[in-house]
Amino acid sequence: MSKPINMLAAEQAWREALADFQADPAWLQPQRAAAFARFAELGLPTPRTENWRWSDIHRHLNALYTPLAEPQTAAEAARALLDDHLLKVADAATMVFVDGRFAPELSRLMEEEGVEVVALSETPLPIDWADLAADEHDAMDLLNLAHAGDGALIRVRTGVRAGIPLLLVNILTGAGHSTALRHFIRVEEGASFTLYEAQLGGGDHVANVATKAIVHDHASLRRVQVNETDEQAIRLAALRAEVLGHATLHDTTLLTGGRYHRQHTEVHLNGEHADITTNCAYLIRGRQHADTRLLINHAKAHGASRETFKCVMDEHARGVFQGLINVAPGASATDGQMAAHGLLLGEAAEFDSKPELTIYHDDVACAHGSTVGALDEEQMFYLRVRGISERRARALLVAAFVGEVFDGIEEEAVREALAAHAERWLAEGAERGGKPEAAA
Amino acid sequence: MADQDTIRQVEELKKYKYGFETQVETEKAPKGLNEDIIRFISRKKGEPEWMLQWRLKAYELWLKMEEPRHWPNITYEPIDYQDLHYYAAPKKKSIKSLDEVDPEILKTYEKLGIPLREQEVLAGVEGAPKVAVDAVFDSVSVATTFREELEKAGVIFCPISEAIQNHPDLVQKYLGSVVPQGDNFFAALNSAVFTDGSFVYVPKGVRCPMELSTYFRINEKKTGQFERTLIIVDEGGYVSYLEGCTAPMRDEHQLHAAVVELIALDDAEIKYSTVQNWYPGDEEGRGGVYNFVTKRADCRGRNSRVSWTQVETGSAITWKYPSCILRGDNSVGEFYSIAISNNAQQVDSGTKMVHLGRNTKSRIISKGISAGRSQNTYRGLVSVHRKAHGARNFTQCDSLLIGERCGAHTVPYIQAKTPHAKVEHEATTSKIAEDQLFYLRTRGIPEEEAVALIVNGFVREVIQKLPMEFMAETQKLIGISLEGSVG
Repeated sequence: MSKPINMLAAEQAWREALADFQADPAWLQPQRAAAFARFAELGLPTPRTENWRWSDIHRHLNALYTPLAEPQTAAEAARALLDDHLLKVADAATMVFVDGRFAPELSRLMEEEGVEVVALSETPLPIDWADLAADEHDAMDLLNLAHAGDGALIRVRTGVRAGIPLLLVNILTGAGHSTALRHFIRVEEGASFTLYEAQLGGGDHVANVATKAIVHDHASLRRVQVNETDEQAIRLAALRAEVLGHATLHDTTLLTGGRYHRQHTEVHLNGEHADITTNCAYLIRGRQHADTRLLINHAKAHGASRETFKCVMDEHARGVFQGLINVAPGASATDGQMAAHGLLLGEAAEFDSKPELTIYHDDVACAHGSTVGALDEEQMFYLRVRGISERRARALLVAAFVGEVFDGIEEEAVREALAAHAERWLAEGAERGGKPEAAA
Repeated sequence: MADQDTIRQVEELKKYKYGFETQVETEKAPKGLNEDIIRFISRKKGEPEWMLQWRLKAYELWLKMEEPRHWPNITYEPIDYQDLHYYAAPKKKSIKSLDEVDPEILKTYEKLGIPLREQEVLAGVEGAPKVAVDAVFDSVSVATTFREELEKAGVIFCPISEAIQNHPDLVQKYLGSVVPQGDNFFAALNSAVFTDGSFVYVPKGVRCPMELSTYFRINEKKTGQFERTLIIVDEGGYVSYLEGCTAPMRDEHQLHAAVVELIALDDAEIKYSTVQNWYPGDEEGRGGVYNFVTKRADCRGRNSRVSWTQVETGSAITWKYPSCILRGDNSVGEFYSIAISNNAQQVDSGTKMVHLGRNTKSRIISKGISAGRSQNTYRGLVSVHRKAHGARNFTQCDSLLIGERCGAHTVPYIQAKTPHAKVEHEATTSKIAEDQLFYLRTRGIPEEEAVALIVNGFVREVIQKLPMEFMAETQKLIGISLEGSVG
């Protein structure tokens, strides 16, 4: 593995970069400064930090990656990437960011009654309905706020069932640098909204994308995010959501890209009868490292949560899952189910999992399951005796393994695009020839 | 008459019946911990120089170590390690036979129901199998039974202090080979100051003719108990070992930091069962034993097998992870646990299964029951290393909550570095089912009894793994431990 980052130099460079974001927007400046000061106190997490025990970020961030003040590529040059990507199929309004900056010329915003969408950089005055504050115990979130060059601020007003989904695209081009986006979504009482997030491009680039959401009583938010960057990019992604009474959140992630991917998903069920689902499918190989931290906090009664995490690892890839269901005192009739499954295809692949339950109330039904292993030999045999080729049988079984994750996606075209992408990934794997046969 | 009996029984149940104190004259080391105290302990035990040096090295390591206060899910006031006696022994030298043992101590074990007289069998069980007992009272072993009979079979069963004298080659070869002196804070402390414990050696091809048992008793005030157990089973051997423990009721906390090392060579099998019933403290959380224990088995040989079964009902705080290093090909590790916490008790316990050899198998069944204001955590690790082709693990952790002020937590770590292995983990947390309770209540069974019945059903899978002697006791213990948890 590469040399770890020189933190002294990095901190200096990152501090100097603050000046580049002074005006974007100016009202955020005091919060940025405070966030960076707090980050400097905490420093980057180390493997001694429990939530980071299987990911040494000091080594993954092996260079300074100074924050980019301006996109390294003209927006037009990035246009080609928009023609063909997974979430393209959605008939959606589009907001494109290139290297962490809003690119209006590539975007297509559509008017819809009761739905407000603005770019953070285009808000001369503070937006009182958006809470951009960072988690002061999370170094990466603090760093995100300090260097966020832009973001989407979305408000869906009371009772509005938005018909047009919004697609946020983040295109990475600036090799050797980092960029940060900070999104905020507010779905008000009884409203509903669908959000797609795509991560494209790549290169040796760090993208730190933090999404905050609040889903009010009886409201609904559905999100699908896809990371299809190349195998060089580093992505730090976070979703922090607060879900209130009778509200629902449905979140799906598909990841094939990135040298290093860290997903931090934190959902607080802060109202009774909140209902949340998070589904993840990771398909990684080469030296990819994908790490997920999932925190589901049942703070109120009658909450339901379903978490499904599927990770397929080929070659030298490493998948990490740390999930926690917390049930607070008084959260009666909580129903929490978490499943984390690793499928190891490569000889040198590795899976680390820690599905955790902390329960402070007796009236609950919570469960978690975690498995790790290779493809089932009996299932392989069954398919092979029916004349299906080894490669095809393998692809079928892997597709079945991850397929469940996409089932909850409402939009059929999106669901099919994601499933098709998973199959393509498998086909590519077979062509790479990196397909090790069982040693036996 | 029957009513009176019942009332009396219920009254007895309410108390921790092992909470009495025995008046025996003891010899104690002055309070505090330093090199001189370690030299004092070593001299008292008449140890050879190598043993003293081994202890001093442990002490040196301990001084540089940090107490694990952050990662376990337990909270307690800082322990003043200088305010403890590290050696306390009943005043009596070189006991030739049981008749020379202080009658007060004999009475103590009688009250505890531990048969120290060889002709005595287990109370109430006709024709019960023989059990050899090593009784440890505070810092020293006071009696070991059936030694001659064991010697005939070639089995060595004696206090570890004697083994250091009589079998130095075995002790030197194996002591610290599973849990090295610097393994963790409490293991280092134990290595520096351990005073007694049991030593077992089962030679090649020998099935130990009876169950072996150690009974630990903390009696003195302000003493820590640091026992060390070393069990070696040579090729093809087998032993079943039982461990029990109690302590008087006191307002202050008592520290118990033990180390248990098991070594299983080719085709050897060790079954280690514990019923841990140290004084848990009162309802307010005053007093009780801090049980900070390191237990580890090394399945060193091919086809070796180690099974840990534990029933944890006592102690104010339990910090304990009996583990298996599955080094030999085809070796098997098992962990069956019942952990019950009530009132202000805190339990952070579980196991580690480290798969190094090929075709190694492990199985973990953990049943946690929390009541009162207690916190009960299962913390476990299953780690499969790159060369452990064909490794297999199955883990099941179930937690039951009784009452709304307690907590039940599950913290499993799963690490797999090879595709040629299969690891499965499942966990559930729930409360006692209302319909089961209702069903029993409609049949006239009082609520507390009904809860005990349901809990006994919940833990049945583990109880079945216990030796017969412990089964009945455990079922009773469950009832006692959950006293006052309903209504």
